[in-house]
Amino acid sequence: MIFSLANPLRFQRLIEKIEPITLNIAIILLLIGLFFCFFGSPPDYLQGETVRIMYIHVPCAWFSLMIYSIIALCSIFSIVFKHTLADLISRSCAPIGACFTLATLLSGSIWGKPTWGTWWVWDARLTSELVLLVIYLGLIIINNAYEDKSKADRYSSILAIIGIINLPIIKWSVDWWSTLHQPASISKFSSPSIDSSMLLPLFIMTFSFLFFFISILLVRVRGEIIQRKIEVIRFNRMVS
Amino acid sequence: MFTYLPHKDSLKDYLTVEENLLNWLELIGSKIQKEKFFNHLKFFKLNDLRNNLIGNLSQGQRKKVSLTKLLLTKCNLWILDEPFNSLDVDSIKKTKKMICSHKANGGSVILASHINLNIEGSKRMFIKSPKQKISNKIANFDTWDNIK
Amino acid sequence: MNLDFFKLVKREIKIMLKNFSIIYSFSTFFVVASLIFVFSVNDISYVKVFYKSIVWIVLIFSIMLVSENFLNEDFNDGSLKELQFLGFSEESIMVSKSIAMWIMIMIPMLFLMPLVFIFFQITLYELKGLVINLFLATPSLTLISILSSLFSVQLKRNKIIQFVIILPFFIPMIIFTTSTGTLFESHNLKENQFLILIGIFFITLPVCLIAGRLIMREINK
Repeated sequence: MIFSLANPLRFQRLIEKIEPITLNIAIILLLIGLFFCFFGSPPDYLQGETVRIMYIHVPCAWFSLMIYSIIALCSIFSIVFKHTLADLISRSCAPIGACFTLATLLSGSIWGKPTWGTWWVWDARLTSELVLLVIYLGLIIINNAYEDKSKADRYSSILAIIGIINLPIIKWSVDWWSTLHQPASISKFSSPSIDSSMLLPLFIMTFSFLFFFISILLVRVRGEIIQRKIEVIRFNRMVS
Repeated sequence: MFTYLPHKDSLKDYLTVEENLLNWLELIGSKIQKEKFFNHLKFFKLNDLRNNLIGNLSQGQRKKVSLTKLLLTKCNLWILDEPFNSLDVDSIKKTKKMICSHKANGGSVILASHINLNIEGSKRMFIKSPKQKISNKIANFDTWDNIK
Repeated sequence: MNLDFFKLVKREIKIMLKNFSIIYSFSTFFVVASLIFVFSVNDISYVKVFYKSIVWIVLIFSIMLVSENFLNEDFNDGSLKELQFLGFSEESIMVSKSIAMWIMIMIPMLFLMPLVFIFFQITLYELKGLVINLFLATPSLTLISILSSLFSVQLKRNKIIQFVIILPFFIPMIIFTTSTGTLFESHNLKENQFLILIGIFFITLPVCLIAGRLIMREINK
């Protein structure tokens, strides 16, 4: 299945079919989710209305980690099997992941001002998330630094594999160190420490972000494929 | 066991000729007598230069120093990457003589060069178009269109 | 195989000792950079408080700058390729370079420590902690900086990329060497600090070796 899709041309045709559907789903889910965020869910008894930032902040944080794991998996795949599609995906994932991480940090600091009283604290969770952003930026820089794109892909995948070390640190930083940031509320699905009226908009927003991410990723991958084709055509014209 | 001379000469600028060669010999784990070493240096007339820093030598002299490495060891196979670059005509003749005598002793040489040497019994391969090689490097994007 | 490795180390140290000006410029850079830090501090009594941060930040930058001499030079004159062709494994090349570089850093640092002692007016107890930290943390620092110079070895335009890429990975080292325990509000950090540094070394060693092997394979393609 994966290997039949690994042919970029077939993948490109698949993208053209899927992409409008995912974007539509993302927009519809986003509208429903936003309605639930603002009108369909109760304010927190302690934090009041500011709790609604959570519906943006938490999915963004999840996706900043998930996209990095996708990049890491693709990097391992591209180093082991030397396949171009994995390179394309990890290359086009990096800026999206950086945006999600930035959104997490910004929304977190906006949330932090009314609840903690400061925009920023140097605690473990926040610092490691900032490090994640820096690693994303490093990946983007490497991707654009080398003239030879296949070499850039290889180097950035090596860096991505080294950067995996940061993921467990972010995930469990709230448990390892005593920080200001609260521990994860939804660790077990059987008994989450959030009321279901708040859980519903959170999940709707998460799924909307998921489809949004997929559609943006597909657009970027298609762009990368076309760009490389242009390069090859230009090169062939130059040689012959 | 083989000796490989890369395109760049792999000599350190801040070491003398003698130190460079002796370091290299130590690295590959072979030893040589002092007198023999000096005799081999005479082949390219590097004897007077042996206490000079490599950084002070000209490009052709550097190339000669790295070619001297071939004389110092007894390897069967030499792999040379463009050994005649920046050499004068006399030295090219000398190198050719070196290669011929190595061949006479039963050794073999693989080399890439722009100069046609005309050594008897050697096989030549021409690489004309670089197109295939380079487009392979940019991944096989042009072949994708054929898979339909 | 074992014999080969020691030959490689011997070669690196020989070359390093011949190129003595690196050691000289390293120690000069260290002194000058710490001087600049001292001048930038408003109240001189703060210097006493911030001595650890100053020493470690200057050390990290000087190590990053020096690491260029070990790999980029070898890459530029083709001896890296030759070493790989001679049959030395990529790991042994990296480890031998790190050993040579570690010796190269430790010699001047040991001579500079009394200077730090006088400059920053620290107590003997603090100096002891600093030296032990130095011994435990520099091996991982050298490994990471060798890796970073491997990343930038084929970049001719901007060396600044080397810093951007690899500086995030120095963060744990900086945290535990300067023992900024207040940062994470952890109380049992100070006792375990030395053990944590050793632990970090045993994490960085395999990671750097594997990544270095992958990059070195890639360089000659």
